[in-house]
Amino acid sequence: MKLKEFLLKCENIYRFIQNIFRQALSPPFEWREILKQCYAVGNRSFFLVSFTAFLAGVVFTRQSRPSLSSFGAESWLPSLVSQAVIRSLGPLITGLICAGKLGSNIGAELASMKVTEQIDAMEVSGTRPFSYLVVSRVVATTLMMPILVVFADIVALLGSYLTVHSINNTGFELYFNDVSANITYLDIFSSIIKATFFGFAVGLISCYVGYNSQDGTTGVGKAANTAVVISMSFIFIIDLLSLQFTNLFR
Amino acid sequence: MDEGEIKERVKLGAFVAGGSVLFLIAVFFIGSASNFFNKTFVVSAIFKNVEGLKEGDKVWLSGVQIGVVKTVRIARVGEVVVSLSLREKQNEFIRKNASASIGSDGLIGNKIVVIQPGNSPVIIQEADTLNAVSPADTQQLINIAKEVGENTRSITFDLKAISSKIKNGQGIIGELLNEGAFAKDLRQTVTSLKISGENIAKASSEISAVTEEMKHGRGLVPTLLSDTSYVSVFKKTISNVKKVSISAATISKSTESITTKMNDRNNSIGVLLADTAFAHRIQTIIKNSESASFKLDQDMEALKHNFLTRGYFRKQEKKEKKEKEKDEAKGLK
Repeated sequence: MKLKEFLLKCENIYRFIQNIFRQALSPPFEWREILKQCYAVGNRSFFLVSFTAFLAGVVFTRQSRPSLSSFGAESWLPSLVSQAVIRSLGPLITGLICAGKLGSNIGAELASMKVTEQIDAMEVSGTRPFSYLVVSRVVATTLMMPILVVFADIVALLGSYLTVHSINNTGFELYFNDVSANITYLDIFSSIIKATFFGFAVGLISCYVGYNSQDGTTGVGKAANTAVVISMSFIFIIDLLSLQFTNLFR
Repeated sequence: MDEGEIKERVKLGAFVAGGSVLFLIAVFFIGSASNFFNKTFVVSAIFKNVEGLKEGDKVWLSGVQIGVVKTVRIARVGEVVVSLSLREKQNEFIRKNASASIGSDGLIGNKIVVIQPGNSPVIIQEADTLNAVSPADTQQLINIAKEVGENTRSITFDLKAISSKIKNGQGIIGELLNEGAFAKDLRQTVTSLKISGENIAKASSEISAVTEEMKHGRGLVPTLLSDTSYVSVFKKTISNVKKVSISAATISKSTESITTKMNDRNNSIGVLLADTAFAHRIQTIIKNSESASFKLDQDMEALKHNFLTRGYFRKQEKKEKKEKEKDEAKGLK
């Protein structure tokens, strides 16, 4: 019985993803809603993501420095921090912050619309609720996440630079020359592509959980919670898979 | 479209544009670091072993990064072709006979290719091959380290034996450290040297004093040294000495002639000196003379007591006595 439920759920998820792609690629597009969601995802998360990334850069630098100092390799700090931030730390922090913030937001929003039958009303009124509510949010998270990652990377490196500068009085040019000398295009593009998958996963999971919520008002909280938990779990799974995939090219 | 929506869109546009610009800047800087936007030329070097060198590793010339490793491929066993992508502006510093070796960026850093620029008048061109200096094989280094270890062990054993001998007082160093015979001899030698040194110092001091006296004193030598009037006297003296020596030579010749004659048996002195039979006869004559003299003495004594001659002898005694008294009286006056 449970297996049957599981398989049905898999089929349901597959149909959900199929619908997203079909409606995202075929007109009419909900441009205004997409832009609105982009603003909500990108601009409204910018400060939180930047603040977290800045702190991560500072903390990571301060924690790495003693180990490198004991080897007399303090000059490797920019190289180490840049690789850590761009390959993993930046996308991961952005993904987790967005999973928490956007997952709960989208999950709760769609779940409340579902339980108050607003979605059914939209269908009756001839509006395409799936395209308007789901596709716009998934597209927004998928598009905005890489941009947020770029900002997060830069801010984290800035935090790292300020830390190194305050300790060793290292120059801005020297630090960022070291950073750019040790970062490759593969690092940057793998990071951006990974962020895209993070965005898609957060949007998809949050929308699916919210769009298919049940059990009335209790289902809203449950949907928000589930959206956050599953999104965060998938962030780590995707991070691991992308690492394995990227290593094929290294 | 209401005003709020327009503001939202402007902010969104700024956000996306900002992200895109930052992304492009990052791409540009990374591209600059890996010569992506610079004109480059490619040269190669063939190594036996690249010790883990990989694509993207740095190429250094005089400590400055001038390029990156483009490809690393094995052509055949023991032959690894490394292509180097170098900045085109740097080729004027690299000569035809330049060489490439594999080094390390720091003690535990990444591998790098280090180019020695060479001194040929011709500069390197696209697709040229650099002389490669292959790094020492790790196994070779281990073997060298092993050999060094064995040598060190052997030296340690030798040192142990030497220190044991020294401790037991064997050999010169051992005797020295353990107060052996050599140490005692050495100590005595040093004492002797010390005494000699003191004596030398004393002698030196005396010589110094004598010298000082000769310089400033009033004796014969200072006078001779300082008074120039003595020069003529000396000259005369030396001239006289010369004459004396000539006379001495003449005397010596005469003496020699006399000696020769004395040795000759044809003259009386020669016979006296050389003829033993004649000497024997003379001895006999002398003995006979002594005997005759003794007998004459006895005869004279007998005459003193003879009544015929006794008066003459008494007169003679009285006469001698008177002359003696006269002499004594003169001596008192």
